[in-house]
Amino acid sequence: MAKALQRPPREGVTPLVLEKVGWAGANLGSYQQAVDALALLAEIPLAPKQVQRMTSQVGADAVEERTQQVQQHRRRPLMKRTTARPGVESSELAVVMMDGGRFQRRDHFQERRETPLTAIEQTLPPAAFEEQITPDICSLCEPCHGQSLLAERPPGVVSDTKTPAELGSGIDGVAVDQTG
Amino acid sequence: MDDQLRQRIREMATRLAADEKEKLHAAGTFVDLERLTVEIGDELTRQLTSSVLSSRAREVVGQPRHACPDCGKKCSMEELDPLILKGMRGEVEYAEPRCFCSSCRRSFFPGGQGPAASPA
Repeated sequence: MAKALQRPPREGVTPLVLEKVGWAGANLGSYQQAVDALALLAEIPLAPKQVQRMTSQVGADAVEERTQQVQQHRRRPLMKRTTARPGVESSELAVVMMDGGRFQRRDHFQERRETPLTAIEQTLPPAAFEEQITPDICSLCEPCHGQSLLAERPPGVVSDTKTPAELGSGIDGVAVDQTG
Repeated sequence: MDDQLRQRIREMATRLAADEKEKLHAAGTFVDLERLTVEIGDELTRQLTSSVLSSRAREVVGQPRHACPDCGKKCSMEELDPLILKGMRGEVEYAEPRCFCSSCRRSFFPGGQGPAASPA
């Protein structure tokens, strides 16, 4: 019956009371404060030692549950780990800001370059990586998944911008919430 | 809560108000009235919970033998363990059936998760 009722087997309180004791013990300044709050607000008379013991037990159980969830998640295949949960729509825009000046990223942009290569560029071997000045702004929508929207812009556009909102507003067809 | 249940509670409250008219009228201020009605509500909650739990316990007792969660051996009911739990609306009393497995030397609540007592 204890399992079917989800009654904590070692406690003399009901699950709802245990939930309240756990919250009060974890969020209030002291166990005495938790006892006072529970007595006044919920009319649940308990001793500080009881609150301390139950809070510790609830906390330990929560940590154990979290550890198990993390281990369970890590055991899953990479595809399942990185796929968005059902019902969650991935954002169409991602702004990546890094404190480090420059970073290297894979060069995906040669094939979709519209302007012809200059004479100097034609003499150079195709670059495997492109060095980019942060921040970067990427579209996550198909078909250009993960590709930078700023890559074909002159570096000045990047270096002159100050905020992601300004970055977004400088690109046609990309709506950025300016209020944020 | 569905409308049907709400209607039944309304009928019960009307009957109770009529039966306890004097007591309710004696509660002059709003604070007195609220305290009294909360007390009645709490008592109703406790009695309803105890009644449901006792009914479930009787169902479990009705089954002659229960499997031990460790070894699976069919064990007979040992006794009803009286429990007093602190609930949201006061103390809830009921008796939970307890079995004892002689092979594992442990007590267990049928359908329960943990041992009722430490191994002897």
